Amino acid sequence: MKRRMSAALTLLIALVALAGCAGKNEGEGKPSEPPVKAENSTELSSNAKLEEVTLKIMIPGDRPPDMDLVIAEAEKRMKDTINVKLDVVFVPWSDLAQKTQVTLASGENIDLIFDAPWLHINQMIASGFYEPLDDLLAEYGKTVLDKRPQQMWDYNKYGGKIMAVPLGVSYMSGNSYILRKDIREKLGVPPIQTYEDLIAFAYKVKEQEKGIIPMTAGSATYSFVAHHALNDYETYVRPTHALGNSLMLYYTNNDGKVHNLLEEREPVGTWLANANKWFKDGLIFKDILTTKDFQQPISAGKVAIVTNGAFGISDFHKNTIKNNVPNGELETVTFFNPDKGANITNFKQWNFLAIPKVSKHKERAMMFLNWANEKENYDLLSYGIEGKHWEAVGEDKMKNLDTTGYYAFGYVWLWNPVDERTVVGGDPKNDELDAVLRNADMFTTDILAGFEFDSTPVQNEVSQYNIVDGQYYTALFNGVMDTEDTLKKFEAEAGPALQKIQQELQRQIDEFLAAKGK
Amino acid sequence: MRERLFLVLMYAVLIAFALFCFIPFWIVFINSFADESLLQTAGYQLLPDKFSLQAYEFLLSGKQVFRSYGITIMVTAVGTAMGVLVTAAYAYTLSHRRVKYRNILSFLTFLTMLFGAGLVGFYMLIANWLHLKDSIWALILPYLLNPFYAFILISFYRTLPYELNEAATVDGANDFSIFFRIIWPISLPAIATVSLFYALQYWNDWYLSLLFIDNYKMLPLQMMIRQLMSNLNVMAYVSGSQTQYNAVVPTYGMQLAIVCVTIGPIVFVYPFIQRFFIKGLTLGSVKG
Amino acid sequence: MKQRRRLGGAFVHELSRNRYLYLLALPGIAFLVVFAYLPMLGHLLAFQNYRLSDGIWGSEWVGLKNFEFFFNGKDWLRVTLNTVFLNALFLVSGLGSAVVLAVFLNEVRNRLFKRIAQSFIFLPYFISWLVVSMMALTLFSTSEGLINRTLAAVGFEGVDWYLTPGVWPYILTVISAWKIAGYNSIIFMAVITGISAEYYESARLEGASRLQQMLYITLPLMRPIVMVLALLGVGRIFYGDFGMIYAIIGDNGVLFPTTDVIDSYAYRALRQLGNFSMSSAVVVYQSCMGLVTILIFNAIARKVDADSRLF
Repeated sequence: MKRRMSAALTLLIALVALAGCAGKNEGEGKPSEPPVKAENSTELSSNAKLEEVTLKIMIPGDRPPDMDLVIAEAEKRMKDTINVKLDVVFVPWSDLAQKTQVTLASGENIDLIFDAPWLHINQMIASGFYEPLDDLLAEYGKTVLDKRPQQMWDYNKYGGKIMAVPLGVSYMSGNSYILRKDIREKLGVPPIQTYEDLIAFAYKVKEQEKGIIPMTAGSATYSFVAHHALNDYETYVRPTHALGNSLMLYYTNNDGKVHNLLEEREPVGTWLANANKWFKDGLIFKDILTTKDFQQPISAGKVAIVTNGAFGISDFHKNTIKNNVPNGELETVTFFNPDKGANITNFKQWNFLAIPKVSKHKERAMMFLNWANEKENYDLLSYGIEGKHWEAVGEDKMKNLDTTGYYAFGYVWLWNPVDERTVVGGDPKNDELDAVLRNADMFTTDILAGFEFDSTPVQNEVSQYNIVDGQYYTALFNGVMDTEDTLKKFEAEAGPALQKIQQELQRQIDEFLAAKGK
Repeated sequence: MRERLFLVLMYAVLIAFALFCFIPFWIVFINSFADESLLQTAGYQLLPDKFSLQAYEFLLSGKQVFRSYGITIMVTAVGTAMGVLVTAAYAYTLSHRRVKYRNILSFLTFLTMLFGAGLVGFYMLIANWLHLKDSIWALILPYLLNPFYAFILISFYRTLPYELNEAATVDGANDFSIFFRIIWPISLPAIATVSLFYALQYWNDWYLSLLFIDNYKMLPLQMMIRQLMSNLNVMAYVSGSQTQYNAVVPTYGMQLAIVCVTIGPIVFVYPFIQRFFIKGLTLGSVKG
Repeated sequence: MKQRRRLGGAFVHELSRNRYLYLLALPGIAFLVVFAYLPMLGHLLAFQNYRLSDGIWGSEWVGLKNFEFFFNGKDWLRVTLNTVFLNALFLVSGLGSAVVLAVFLNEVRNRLFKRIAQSFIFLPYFISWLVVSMMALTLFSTSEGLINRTLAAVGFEGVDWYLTPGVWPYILTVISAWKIAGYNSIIFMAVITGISAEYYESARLEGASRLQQMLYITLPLMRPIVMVLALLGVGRIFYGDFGMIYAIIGDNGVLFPTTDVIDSYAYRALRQLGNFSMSSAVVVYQSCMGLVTILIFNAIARKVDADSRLF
């Protein structure tokens, strides 16, 4: 017994020692090299003797297998100039909010961090976590500034300052409906031209194609009614700044007035009633509320129509449908109007990269961003090593060679509209439409462009609204629940809160417009 | 006669419940080897007719897997050993008749179960004050004393007859040797149980590595899997994404494969622990 | 003066009398202080308007303002009741089924059967909630769920399971018991193993049947551990099982009236606000309610059976 005890203890001690050593070795960063003395110090004379600095970058995603190769190449290129080493930390998308929040709240040293309006950029700025970038950009970030049009900078400021670099290539999302081309042809329906055609097709599917459910949709923006609102070129019903993508409060046209769905029902009311009718008529997938991945049913061959947040179909879906349904083929139809000025945008971007106040290497971080926005470096970090992972086709197109080793995730740290390449082989019609989305001049500027809503005065009302929204919104906007009943419930549970939010929002808007008027 | 009927009923209940538990697991297991398109169109089936190893390939490719397994195994081994030791010693004291403050300590222990650590406070303690970021200790130390398991052991120790202690004290032993020489061997079933639970806790954890491990080379298994899945779920939807998967990504299959990959090693360890739950270790020592 | 010295003296005396015991407990105590009590300070956030630049000590104190968002809605009572009701169901079913399993398995003589059965009932513990939710979909999906298809095959109409709130507390209870019974039964089996064989010997000699042995020996000797686990569960009765509920119910608002718990409610409310202080406030609420509850129930337990108390 004694022997066994001491043997166990010895083993334990050995394990602990091993763990300690292993922990230390893994934990140490790369040994710092002595500062490099550049030989050719012609153009960057003042930078030639820059000390090596490791930048810690926190972005969402999963580390590509060849990340080390790409980083090595990048560091090689930077060695003689800005001498930066990269420590890129990837955070799973599902945990991004929590991890970034807790990291920032604890004051840990991060040099570049991803954030977004849909994540918590407004709160982080309000809490004082990010460094204003105007001066840094002016001094070290000329390329960063040049590669983005003026509208992108002007309308993505917070409190009048640039608090994070906007990462974007377009000013609006594409929108379309994916449908089963083979079923359409089988039923003898000509290519869909209008929204009414689409619904007629759905009814036909219900009657004649017994095993297939006509349509399904997603939550929030991807719900039937919200998606349809994207194609509303008569009244331009749009979500407000206060409630994310919810249309319970909405703008119409371009006049800066806030409308409350509970009081002014049309035109949304009719759309909601229509969706409800379709649900009762059996056109809508019954499990629409429980499906976690709203586009899975169509690639699994169960439905014929689904909403889509782009003009084209990702290869992911193209491959999956081929696998799942022998003759299955998908196509898209869009009711997007590509005419100049037809679409309104406020130029807000959806992804940003910020420099936290606690960073000890703010200038170097900006220098790195500047370096990264030069075309060849942009190509390297975005697509990988040329020849191995991708191949250039001209100046602005590319072809993928190996996406298992490295794949593009520029939208979390690099995107700029000038250098971003399109992949060859897409549908030319969709490429045209995408080009419209990327051209700032094709849009009408929203009267509220540049406006930021400060929700602090109505924080309680917003969270109250969120609770009710979580319960009814998706069901309502997908026609699952009776329109009148649900709106009454909304009124009962969130009516006062909505009114208060509406008033506060309108007040801030009026202030903003008055100030602008000057 | 009634006894026979009762026995039959008993076996029936056991078999029914065992099947109730086994069948879903069988479905997970067998469908993890099913072809992805079959999963997407037909859903989970009792016996899929098209098989493929895609899900496992996707999950386990790359040398990252070996590193992650290594980290997880090390953390589990060290964590379990230390955790059991610390917890058992602690629980013994809290169950001991002579300890005047045992109820207060029990209350204070329980309180920590009620008022969990606040996220920010916890993070700052480990990252900023203890400087344990990117260290393997960040994965081990925070779970060393799980109050739930401590209470299980306390309850168990209370059932041990105090005569044991008295007999040993008469023989001149101090509390240390009583604990290690006498109590420890006869509490093996409870120790085995708690060891299993600690092992599972460490094996399944991804939360600590999410918060404290930024070095990708040190990611344990569950975290590696979580990142993979989370990213895949997003990749399919990013509009304008240049990613092209030339093959079909077996997301459905992978969710199932993950369960199997996680449970795999436990399947090997569990039989060894089962021995302790089967009667054999009794308290015959009391008589002597 | 004299009294204080005596009190201080009593403390030292106790420590020195049982020095080895306290030494044994020392690592545990140290752990609790460092890893449990220190971070608890973080709960102060609930009463502040936390800003990083000011830190925990410098941020403005706002009293109970962070609790307002929760208590102003009319739903706080409903979700609290849901949480308690569901947790009570889960606790009773989870422990009850585990007791039955452990006791029955103990009666099995065939070793192979015992081992296999033990392993099988443990399996559900490993299935992630995500996979469980997919399985639930397979069963309950309106269009192609197994249950509806079976009903259709025998001529009945299917039920819109995912649109019917009333059934879900019971479905969730079954799922919860299924998942945790095996895990809990291990604890009970370990305890049963520790019961001296002599008790059963003497009972058999006196002619007791197996059922009687079970009722009068096994079950009573399991009472302490069952009570302890029950008390532990009662203390946490205000913490909903967010993992399970979010995976299975998700954002399906139709089912919220019966399945929405404090945790999922707060999660939705604060999703886009990212406000630490407000989420801390909810946790403080849950902890305080739990504390009151456990003090009551522990007092009851103490009266019933001295060995079953938690503290």
